[in-house]
Amino acid sequence: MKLMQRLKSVRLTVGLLVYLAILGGLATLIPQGRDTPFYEGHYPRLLATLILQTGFDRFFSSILFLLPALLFFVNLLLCTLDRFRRELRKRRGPRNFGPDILHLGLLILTVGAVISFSGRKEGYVEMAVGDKVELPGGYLMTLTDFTYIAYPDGRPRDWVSRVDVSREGKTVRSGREIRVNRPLPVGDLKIYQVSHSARLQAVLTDREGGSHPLSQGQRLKLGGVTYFFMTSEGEGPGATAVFHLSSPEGPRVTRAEAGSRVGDLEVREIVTVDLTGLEAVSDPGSLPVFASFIPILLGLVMTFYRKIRDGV
Amino acid sequence: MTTIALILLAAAAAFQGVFLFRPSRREAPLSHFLALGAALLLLGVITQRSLEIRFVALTNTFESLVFYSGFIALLCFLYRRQTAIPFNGFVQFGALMIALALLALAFSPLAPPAVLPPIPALRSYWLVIHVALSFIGEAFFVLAFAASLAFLLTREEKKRLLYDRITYTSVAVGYPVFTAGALIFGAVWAEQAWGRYWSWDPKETWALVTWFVYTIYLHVRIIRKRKDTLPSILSVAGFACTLFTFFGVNYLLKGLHSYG
Repeated sequence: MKLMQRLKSVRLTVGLLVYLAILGGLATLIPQGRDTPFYEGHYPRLLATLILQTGFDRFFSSILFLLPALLFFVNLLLCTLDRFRRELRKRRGPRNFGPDILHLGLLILTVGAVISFSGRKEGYVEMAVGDKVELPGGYLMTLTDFTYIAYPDGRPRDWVSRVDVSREGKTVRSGREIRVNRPLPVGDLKIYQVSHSARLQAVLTDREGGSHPLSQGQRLKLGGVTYFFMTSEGEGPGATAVFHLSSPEGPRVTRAEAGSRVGDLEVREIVTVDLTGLEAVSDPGSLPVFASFIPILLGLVMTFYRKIRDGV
Repeated sequence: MTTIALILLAAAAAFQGVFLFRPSRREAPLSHFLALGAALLLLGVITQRSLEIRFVALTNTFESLVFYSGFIALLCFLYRRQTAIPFNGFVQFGALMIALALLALAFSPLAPPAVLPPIPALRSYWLVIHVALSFIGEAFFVLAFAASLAFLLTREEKKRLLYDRITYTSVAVGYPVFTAGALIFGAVWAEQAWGRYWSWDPKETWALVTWFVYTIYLHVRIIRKRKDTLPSILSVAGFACTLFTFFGVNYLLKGLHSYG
């Protein structure tokens, strides 16, 4: 009984909030998620050991944070139940459920955050126009267009990816845009526009006219020869591609302009291809988290409107 | 316009400051109108810049400082005009000085005034709601801070009760607005822009720390007497957290919010 009283005390709430505020603030001052040599190299030995041994290098997923957060959840739950029961039993004066609704929202938020923590999945892909990528759930996404819109001073204004999405051969989304701040929902996933980059590409053709696009840093094995596209010297039509060829005769480095041959292949063009960076996210916790915002806002309004009206 | 607003704010603060030394009256008769003038001019600055970039101009440090300072000035005017809680010249003076200091920072190299349209991540009306409500909430915390400071500097019990009431009323208005703006709409925007509603980014974490401190304040005030100094100390600490969230995180720590 004494333990129950302590668990639902406001003093415990205050103590836990003080702890979370101080350690949460400190965690922003120490870089999070780095490897061991980073801490050993940047901090005195004793402090580095302390950071690593206590898990302070990953504070928000460490026991230092999770255990007090769990205790806070229990404290909030018990406080809410206790307060709600007292309000229900109230015989005199108006009942005030504002704080209970607010606390309920915070409890739902915490549950949602735990679901996110354990169930969130994400994957990043860079795509050029024409590229296809398989998504979880049996979806196939094809990038049909990508536009990089810049302001006159060269700063980015928007990145717009246009995609088709199909499932089992049937198109489920056609020509849909993905922009920054405007993700595309696909089943349980949301696809986000997150970045833009450029990739150097040499397009090689074989004797039968087959096309073999080879990106910088990529390898192509054909007819016993491995072609490795190292880099390009110069830009535009006069650019020269540098390849590393490995064949039974031995390795060699060779340079070729557009129209000339490299091994058994012909360099058709050397181009810079725009790439869109897309991130697919599945977060089962986001629904309860966003749902929790309704009771939180409602509870805040009910609690503080009343206090202000009554002349706190 | 920003310079004229700075002059008006300085005049408002000076006028109110002079009247503090008069034993009979503690309310400067024109100070709040000067503050209103400054607020309107600063609103004009935001409007003008918004028209130039064709988006709500609340996307960099300069614009944030102008908006924040302008809203504090507006709040000073409203505080003087309202009748629900007694007016106090010390609180008004403190809040005006903070508005003045924030606007003065807008003239420093820390806040380049260049009018630039926003980068893709900032082109969101969720961001506008998030930033605007955060600063509106924090403007109330400024008033609470000034009242808490006055509380801590006096030993008169009657005055202490008045300052406590001003502090609590300001926090009672600012806290829900700040919660909605900084945390809830911030999470909505983050989910739209980055695909995660919370990233433990330094700015997010410090906004949460600020929220914790004001939550502690509200709970401590339930369990402590109103003449107790602890709630006022917490209100001062909460305001210090808002300053660190705004300036400290921007200039000392790296994160997703590095633009403003």
